[in-house]
Parts: sequence; structure tokens; C-alpha cells
Amino acid sequence: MVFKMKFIKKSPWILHYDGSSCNGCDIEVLACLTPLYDIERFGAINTGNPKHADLLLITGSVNEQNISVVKQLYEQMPNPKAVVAIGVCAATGGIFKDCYNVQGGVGEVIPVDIYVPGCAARPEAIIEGVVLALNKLERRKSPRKDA
Amino acid sequence: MLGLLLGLPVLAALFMLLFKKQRQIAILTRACASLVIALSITFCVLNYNKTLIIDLSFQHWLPYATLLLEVLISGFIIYKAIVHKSVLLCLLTGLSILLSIGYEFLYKDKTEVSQTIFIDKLSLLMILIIGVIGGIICIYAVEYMKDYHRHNPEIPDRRNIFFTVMFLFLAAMFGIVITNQLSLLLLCWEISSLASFLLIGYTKTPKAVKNSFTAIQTNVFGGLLFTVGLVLLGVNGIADFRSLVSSNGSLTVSIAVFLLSAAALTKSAQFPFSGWLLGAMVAPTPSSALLHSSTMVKAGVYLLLRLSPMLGSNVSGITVTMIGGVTFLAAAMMAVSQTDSKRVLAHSTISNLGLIIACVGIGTPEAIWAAIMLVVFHAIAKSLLFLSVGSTSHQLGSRSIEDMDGLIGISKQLTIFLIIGIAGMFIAPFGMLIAKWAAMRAFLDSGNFLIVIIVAFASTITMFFWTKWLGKLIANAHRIKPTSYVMRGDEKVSLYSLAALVIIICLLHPLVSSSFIEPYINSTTTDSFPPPIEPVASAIIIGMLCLIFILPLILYPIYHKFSVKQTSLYLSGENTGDDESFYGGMGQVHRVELRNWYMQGIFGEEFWLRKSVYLGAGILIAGFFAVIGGHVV
Amino acid sequence: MILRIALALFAVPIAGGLLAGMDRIITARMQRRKGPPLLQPFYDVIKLLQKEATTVNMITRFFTTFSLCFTILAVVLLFTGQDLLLCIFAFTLACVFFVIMGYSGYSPYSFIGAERELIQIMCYEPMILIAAFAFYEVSGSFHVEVVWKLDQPLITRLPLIFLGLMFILTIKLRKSPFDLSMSHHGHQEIVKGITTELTGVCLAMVEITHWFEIIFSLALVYIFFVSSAAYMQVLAVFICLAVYFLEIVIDNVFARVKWKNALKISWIVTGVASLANFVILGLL
Repeated sequence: MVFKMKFIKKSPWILHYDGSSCNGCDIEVLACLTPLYDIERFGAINTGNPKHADLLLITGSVNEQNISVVKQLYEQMPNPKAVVAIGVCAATGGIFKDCYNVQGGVGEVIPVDIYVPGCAARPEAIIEGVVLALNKLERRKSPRKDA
Repeated sequence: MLGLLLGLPVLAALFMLLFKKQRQIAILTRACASLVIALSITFCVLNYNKTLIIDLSFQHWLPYATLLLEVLISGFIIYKAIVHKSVLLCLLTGLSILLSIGYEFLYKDKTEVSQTIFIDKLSLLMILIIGVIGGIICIYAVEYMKDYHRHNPEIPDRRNIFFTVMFLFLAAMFGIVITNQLSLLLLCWEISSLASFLLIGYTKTPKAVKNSFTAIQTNVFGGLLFTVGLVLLGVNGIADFRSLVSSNGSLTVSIAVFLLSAAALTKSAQFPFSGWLLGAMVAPTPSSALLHSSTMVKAGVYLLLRLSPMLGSNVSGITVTMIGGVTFLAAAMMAVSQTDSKRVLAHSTISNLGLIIACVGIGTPEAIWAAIMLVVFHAIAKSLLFLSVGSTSHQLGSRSIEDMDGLIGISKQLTIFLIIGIAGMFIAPFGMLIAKWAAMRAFLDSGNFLIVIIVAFASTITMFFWTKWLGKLIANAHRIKPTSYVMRGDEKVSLYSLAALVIIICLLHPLVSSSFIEPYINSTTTDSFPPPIEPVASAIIIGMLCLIFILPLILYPIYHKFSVKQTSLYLSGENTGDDESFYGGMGQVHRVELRNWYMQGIFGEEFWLRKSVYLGAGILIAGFFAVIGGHVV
Repeated sequence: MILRIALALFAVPIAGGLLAGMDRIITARMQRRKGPPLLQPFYDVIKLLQKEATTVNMITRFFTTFSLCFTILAVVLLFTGQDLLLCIFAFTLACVFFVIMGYSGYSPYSFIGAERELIQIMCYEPMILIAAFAFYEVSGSFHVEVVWKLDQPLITRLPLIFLGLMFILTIKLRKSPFDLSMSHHGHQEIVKGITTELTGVCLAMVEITHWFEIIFSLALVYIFFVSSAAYMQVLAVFICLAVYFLEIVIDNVFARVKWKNALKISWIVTGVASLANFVILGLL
């Protein structure tokens, strides 16, 4: 029997990782937690720990130094999991694209489910991205098998 | 039978001196130790239903024999003191032996020698502890001492002396718990002090010699207090426990009881006298296990137990209780700051003895019940811990707790023994806690609130340092490497039997209570005495113990079936993949090293040691004057 | 008896979960946020149960289960009116298993979390023991059942001890300023502390354990207010809720303290409160 992940939508725990970014998107991500946007309405918690997280929110591009880190964080998240790339840098590398050490968007390293556009991405857009990722997650079958 | 029980260790000790070959010593030790265990058990079974009060046929000669032996012992100590130029020791010993001689000649007519041997349920229980645990430790020592000399080739091999002293000590301990005569008890008391002195100084390194002199000085001082007490009692025509307990409370008797209690405090290493026990840890581990944790230090407790009808709510009782309480708290705090496993054990021994002595000082039946229970559980669990630490230090080459996260990679068995021993010292369904529970109730009933608060804090601190150690043992448990160490015969037998004892005695604690402790207490008081732990509570405790062992059996197949994915540690995404190192700046690889907290700033040993010695001395002196003042006013 | 055991087994986790949900809503409202739904803790736990379980080693799971089992045992013993000290011992045993679970990971974050958890236990344990002692001193028995037969609730004789107990409940309920070992807030200097390496079922078990802990702590408060009078038995429940509310306020008002301060403050409070109260008891 394979469980359908009904409850993941009600309790998305978030891991936020900051790659090579200007910190604009990071501030917007944290803004989602403030009273104005209050993402905890949806049960979301910023865990800061891949082992607890369901969603990986990445801002900024991927560079030589953090490729292994991003990969490892993604691997350490238990299934089912989804990745939201926030901002232009996370999508393509953005203005950092031509830097000597930048590899490009997050999609080069790990599978990304939702791209949130913007420079910086607006909190409303980020929340929408999270909600879309949750819809994807809900459909995603948990690999956990019983018996 | 009794003669055999006493004579066998003495004979064994004498024979030991004759043999030089190590194999002969090993065989003799194994045989004699097994015989001691068998004899003590048989003795208890045969005499279980009796209270033995024996007048020996040769007891008129006994004072002379006692005196002769005492002179010999004192002569030996004074000789050692002169060789090592210790004036203080010389004076103390000289004074004490002069008093003894004076006592024998001045008061010989006043005091009649009768009822030399007195064995009740308490004596039987003590015989069991001494015989069984002592025997097991001697068996362990055979293998241990072989390893010890292999690891420390610079130390002269004097194993025959070692075993001689060990067996002599066992005989002295048997003597202490069966005699009714105070002078005979004093003799055995001094033999045990001497044994402790010889064993601490076994390695003959400067540090060992220094510590052995600290030990003998403290113990001779205790002996001096004992002798003065004896003389004071002699003035009143009292020479044995039974007449002491039934005597009236005149000034001299009160002072004598106080002095005897103070002597017991030196033996049990209470503040201000506890320094010697810390130094005693330089001795080879089996002797630490036997003398400095499970038996000899309990001699002081035993003496106090015998005196307990004279303690209670009077000045002596309160002094003893308070010193016990202070020791319980202060030693527990100092144990937190130690990395050396043996030193932690030493501090915790002092601390637990403090608890036991505080119980005895209270003197109510339930406090005595708790004290005896504590003696039993502490003796078993602590000797298991000492022996495991001994083997561990040989395997790791270090006694530091910080190195023990590697232990499970070397020996699974040793780790499990340590865990059982540690659990036996403080966790709920295990022995010490059952006894502590009754102790708490006894303290509350005594109305001494200060001691109640002290116990709450001290128990918590005790839990802290044991859990910390336990955590370190388990920390690395998942990285089990191939075992490079196989436990050998003697070690295996002794460790397995002690570990089994820890658990079995916990399961059977109602039986220990109903067959030994309750009859003893009923024989000393007239009121009927219900056991402090109710049957329901006992059942819950035993249920919890069973749960601890049954749960893994249920869980294991379930967890085995639903196996889960094993992932790497979270090291901020910089794990190199082996879980033991991470990438730092510039791609350098750093090892993960995890260290425990020792909180030197709060629980530092030097700071608290001095404070608590002063405090203990203060309480003792105040108590002494209060005893005199109470009678004068 | 069976009813009470059933109550302890089924009603307690539900009540604990609801209280945790209320906590999150009230906290959010205090910060002028809307906050999650009331049933959020249950959603979290069910999600965790459904998620893939991973582990860093094969023994951590055993310790989490042990911790849960003995916490439940402690609550059952308390609800069936057994010896209060026995309940506390079972509870401490559960806490020790929890700490060892943290150590067993051998991960820096859970290791430090375990050590801090141990220090937290050292902060609150003396007061809990002394509260039990005071309970015995006043009621003459360690049996929890006795409180239902008291003429006057314990609080009338033990006001200072109750204050001390309330102080350390902040630690036990894992509230700021004493949430050193793990935290539901954004503090992340040791990530999620002792629970860092836990996922799925194990983490769910820790959450459920915490629900039991909440009720155990509030039950201690209840003991201080209940008496043989029927209205007190109802009133005491509301007082427990008020105490919980107060803890939430404290949680939101204070910043975290260092472990050294936590230890010093809680020990001083314990020592002063218990000594003063015992002296007053002795004088009365």
C-alpha cells in the first residue's frame, strides 16, 4: 500500500538555503514569516534543518563552493520533498551568470519543482510558489513502503 | 564453620607468601576465592534462622592476643613512618598504642570478656557482601594483575604480597562484622587500615607512597579516636556493643559514641576526612574495588549502624547526618568536573557513603532500612563499575571518560557492563534508586528540612554526571568496528556474575528486605516495622525493570522488519561523507570531535574540596562541643 | 482504574496536542499574526508519520521509543494516583533516555543539544523533587490520590514552593528563556538541537512525548489546587490553563538566557523558595 501524502499540504516545513545571491530574495523569504504575510497560517515552519524539512527554498545561484552543499542538503531531506528556486539568480544565475565561479541556476544541480520569478521575488510570489510546490508534493507518492 | 570462614583467608594469605611462581599464586587465589564465596553462602544458609552469640573457650586470652597483634601492627607502622620521616604518623600511632596498652592493663578487671561473637541478620548480610563480592574481585584480580604488570613493566612484580594483603583484608572484614567486642573490632579495623596502606603503596612510586601515607595518617587518626572512645567506655565498664546500646547516656558515654562515630567517618571517607580516598585511586583497580568502594569503607557504615540506637535526634546523630548530607552534595558536585573515570568513581563513592551515613544518622527504622539497602546495592554496582573501568583502562590505555566513546569499538561487552553499572547507580528501576526513595521518605519523616533540600540537589547532580558518562559510552555506538579484544576467563566470570547480581538483586529487592533487613530491624526495635516500599510500588519497580528488558525484544523485530534508510549526519552540508569529518574554509578537512561538559567554573574540584573540608571540620568540632555542652548545661 | 488508564492513554495526548495548538495560535496573536489552525500539531505529527523515515544509526529509534513509553508510564502512574515520587522517577528515566538519544547520534548539533537538555534537567529536577517532598510533608503521604481528600488545597500551605514549581515549569515546557536544547522558535544556533538528526516516525514520537510532558507538568500544577471540594476540582483545571497561558506570555516576552544563568537562576529560586516555605511550614 502506498500512502497518499494528505497532510503534507497542511504542514510544510521549510529549509531555506542562500546560494550566491545579493540577499534581496533572502530578506523577502524571511518577510513571508512576518506578521504581514504570516506563512505560518499554512502550518509552515522555518526549520533550518534538512532532516525536518519538506520544502527546500533556494535563493541565489549555484557556485563551485556550494554545489556539494546544495546536493548534500537535498539528499538529506527525507522523501517526499520539493525544491522551490526563488528569484532570477536561482533560476538561471541572473546577473552573476558570467562570474568565473558561478555554475548557473539551481536546476543544474538538483531537480527544481517550482521557479519563482522576480528580482527580488515578492513575498506574495514566494507564498504562491510554496503553495504550488505543495500541490506537487501532495501528488508525489511517498516512497515509504509498508510490508 | 565460623573458624573456617575466618581462618581460610588467613591461611590463604600465609600460603601466598610461600609461593613465588605466578601460576601457583593464580591457582591458589582462584581456589581460595571460590572457597570464600562458597563458605560465606553456606554459612548464611546454615545459620540463617539463628542469632549466634558465642563465648569462645579461649576468650580470656583474647585481650592479650589482641594487644600483641596491635603492638605488632603499630610497630610496623612506626617503622615505616621512621623510614619515611613522618613525625605526625609516628606520634599518632604511638599515642594510640600507648592508650591501648594502658586500657588493657587499667580496665582489665572492670570489663569482663563475654559474648565475643555476635552474629545477627545484619552480620550475615555483611558476610554475604564481603564473601561474595570480595571473592569475585579476587578472582578478577588474577587476570588483571597479570595484565597490569605487562602494561607497567617498570613496577616490581610483588603479586604474592598483593594477594596476601587482599586475603588478610577479607579475614579482617569478616572479623569486623562478627565480633561484639569493641577491642577486637579495633584490631580488625587497624588491620584493614594497614591493608589499605600496603595496597595504595603497592607500586612504590613517589605519588603512591605519598598517598598511602595520607591514607594511613587519616586512618590511624580514626583509630586514635576509636581508642579514646574505647577508654572512655572502659571507664563505664562497657566493652561490647550489646552493653553499650543498653547503657545510659552519661557524659562519657555520649562523648565516646561521638568519638566512635568520628572514627567511622574517617573510615568512610566523609568530609573533612575524605582526601585519602581520592589518593587511594593510585592502587591497582581490584584493590580499589574491594577496599575503597565495596567493603572497607562500609566498615565505618557498619560501625555506625551498630551505634545507631545511640544516634538519632541527639547531637551525635545530627552531626553525623549533616556531615553525611554535606558530603553527599559536595562530592557529587566534584564528580561533575572530573574526566578521569576512576576519580569520578571515587567521588561518587564518597558521595554515596555520605547518603548512607546521613541515613544512619537519622536512625529511624526506615532510615536504617534505606541505609542497609544502599550498602547492598552500592557494593555490587560500584564493584562492577570499578572492575569494568579497570579492564577498560587496559584496553584503551587511558582512564579518561573522553576516550570512552571508542570503547564500543573495542569491546561491546565491557561497554554493556559499564552501562549496567552506571544504570545501577542512579536510574529509576535499579537498586540505588529504590533505596534512595526510602531514604528520602526517612529524611522527610525526621523533619530535618535542610537535609531534604540537600538530597534533592545532590540526587540531581548525581544524575547529571552519570548520564553524561552514559551518553559518552553510547555516543559512538553505531560505528562498531571489528572486535579486537576477547575477554578472558577470570575477567569474564567475575564481570558477568557481578552484572547479573546487579540485575537479580534489583528484581529480588523485596526478598532481600524481607529476609535480612526487616528481621534485623525488628530485632532492634519494639515497634512493628512495615517495609518502606509498599508491595504495589515494588511491583511497579520490578515491572519497569522488566519493561526495559522486554521492550527491545518487542521493538527489535518490528524495527528489523521496517528497516529505514541510513543517511549521513547533518554537518551543515559540509559532511565529507564518512560522518567523522567536514570541509572547513578553503576545503580543509576537519575531524568532528565531541567533548563533554565538565563545568570547572562551577563544580571545580579544588574550590569545593577546600570549602567542604572546612565545612565538615566545622560541623564536627561544633558537634563535639555541643555533646559536651549538652551535658554540662 | 481502567477508565483512568484509558484517560491517560487517549485523552492526554489529545489534550496535550490541543494545548500545543492553542499555544501556537496565542503566540501568533501576541505577535499580531493569524497563526496556524488549532489542529496544526496533529497535522504535523500525521505528516511526520507518513513521511519517509531516515536515521543516522540503528539505535536512536530505540531510545526515542523508550522515552515515549516511560513518559506514558509516568502519566499513567500519576493518573492512577500512585506514589508521586515513583511518577517522577519514571519521568526522569524517560528524560534520561531522551538525552541518551541525543548523545547516540554523535552529531555535533544533537550532542550539544543533549548536553543542554541534561543541564535543563539539572535545572528543574531539584524543584520537582522538593515539590513532591512538600506534598508529602503536608498531606502525609506520597500517594497522589490523597489530594482529592484534602480540606484545603496544597497551595494554601505551599505558596512559595508552587511559585518555584511554576518557575521551573518554564524549563520543562521548553519555553523561552530556557529553551536551550531545542526550540520551536527561529533560534537556530544549534539547528534543532537534540532533535536535529531525527526524521519521520522518531520526530513524531518526540512531539507526542512532548504532549504528554505538557500534561504531566500541568498535572503537577493541578495537584497544588485540587481539594475535596467539587468546585475546586473544576477550578483547578482553569488555573492550570491560566498557568499555561502565563508560560506562553513568558515565552514571548523573554529572550534566551545562557546555560550558566539558567542553572544559577533556577537553583537560587529553588533553594530560596523551598527553604523559606519549609521554614514557614515548621513555624506554623
